[in-house]
Amino acid sequence: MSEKKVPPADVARADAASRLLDRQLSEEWKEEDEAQLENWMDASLAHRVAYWRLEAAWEQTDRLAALRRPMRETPAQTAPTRNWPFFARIAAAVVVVGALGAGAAFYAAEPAAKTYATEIGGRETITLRDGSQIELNTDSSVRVALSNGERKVWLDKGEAFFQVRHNAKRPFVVIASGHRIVDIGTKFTVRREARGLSIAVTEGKVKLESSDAKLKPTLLTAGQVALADANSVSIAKKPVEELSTELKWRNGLVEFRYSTLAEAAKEFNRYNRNKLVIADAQAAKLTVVGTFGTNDVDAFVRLAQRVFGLHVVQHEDETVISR
Amino acid sequence: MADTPDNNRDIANAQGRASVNLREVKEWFVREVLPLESALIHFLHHNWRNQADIDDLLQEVYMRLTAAAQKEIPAQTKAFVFSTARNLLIDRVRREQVVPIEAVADLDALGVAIDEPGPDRSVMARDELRRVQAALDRLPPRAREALLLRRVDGLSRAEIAQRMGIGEGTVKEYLSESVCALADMLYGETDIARRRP
Repeated sequence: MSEKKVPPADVARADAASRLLDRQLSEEWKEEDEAQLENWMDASLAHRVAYWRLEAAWEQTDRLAALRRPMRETPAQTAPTRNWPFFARIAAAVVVVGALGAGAAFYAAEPAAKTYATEIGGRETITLRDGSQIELNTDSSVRVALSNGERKVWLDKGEAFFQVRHNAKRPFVVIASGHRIVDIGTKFTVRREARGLSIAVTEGKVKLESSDAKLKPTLLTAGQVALADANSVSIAKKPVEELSTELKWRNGLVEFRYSTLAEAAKEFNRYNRNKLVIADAQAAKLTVVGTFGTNDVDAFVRLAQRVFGLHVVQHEDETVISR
Repeated sequence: MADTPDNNRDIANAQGRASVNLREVKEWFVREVLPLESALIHFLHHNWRNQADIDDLLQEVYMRLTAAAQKEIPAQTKAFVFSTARNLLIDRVRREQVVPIEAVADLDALGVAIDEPGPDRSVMARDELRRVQAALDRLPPRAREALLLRRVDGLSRAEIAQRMGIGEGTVKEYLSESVCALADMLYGETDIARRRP
């Protein structure tokens, strides 16, 4: 058995840092470079663990709050960052309207319906008698009516994530904006937005119908996201990673992946009473990447201030950001 | 500190029998082991007399964990991490006789704390965010500037050098310094001050 020499920790670490940065800074990382790195890691587990550890820290800085400013004269800026898959950029388009009372809910007469609601910045998990769970996001409200034949939930406002105990004899139906979403054993999220009703299925299947039977029923499966308005339904398939980005609110977080500052502000405004106002069009177009607590708007504003050099004025009920 | 031949053989054997792919081991290591680093350092500090050995002990615990995980990812990470650390200390005591064996006699008592459930993940995630921000603020100013130019503005090494008026070699040094300090602050920091050079 060959005797491998284990380097002291500080040596392994310095070496790992140097190699990690060569890889991160190299304009053109070639296969042979990768092979060389692999060889080095194979040479000792000490190398490997030191490298993994530093790489994890390096990646945290991306996750944190890489706020990107368009830099006037640096062409490197326009190049997409390594490691960001293409779809991450599409996700930025998926945004965010705190569907306030718009289209005041149509209350069908239902005797035993019970109402649950959250305030701005609130979040609540409701466990129903049948074991199904509803997680309400900020500023949202549902009515629930359980009968022997059927379980009905009206999403009157906002957004909710459903985990349904399936029972074929007792269908679980979510009703919102003129649509019915019928569970077929599943987890899904429903959100009322200005542009329509958005439904994302993370597990199992649901059937989407329009209440007036104008649209043909559509079956949605895991990974599918539907956007439905009165006249049409559009369906997109999304990678699981991206769906989980949109469900970060369940852990009290928002994630931005190449959103504009305006979009990010809108998203924060769903969760906070003090509203962010982006006062000029140029600042509104700055691109934002990062994860924040839904009510940690202060951290976001601080970073915007520091990284973009923006001007911030705090008022009692709003925070105005400008150049 | 050089390792003993016995131990190297264990690791080499483990690699020979590897059945879990490295990507999974890495994911496990980053997701479940690194968050325990500060607790682990704490544990080593309390149970090892020579404080200068801590970094090497930590490295060796990580090596043992990684070797074992290549055979099978442990189901109970926390318990596994601390029993690995404990076994390492016992091995060291026996082989090197650098501390009396009593020094590690009460390690079993520490096992009690090991079975506690880990922190709530969502709380951890929020906590981490704050920690990354705080850690950034504590980097030396030049090192932080280099890191932000790279990670936030996406500048190349040459552009950073130009902007900061330094050589490209220094850019790399600053970034190395940043990433090492960040890793310590994010994973390793305990209430005991670290003594990294």
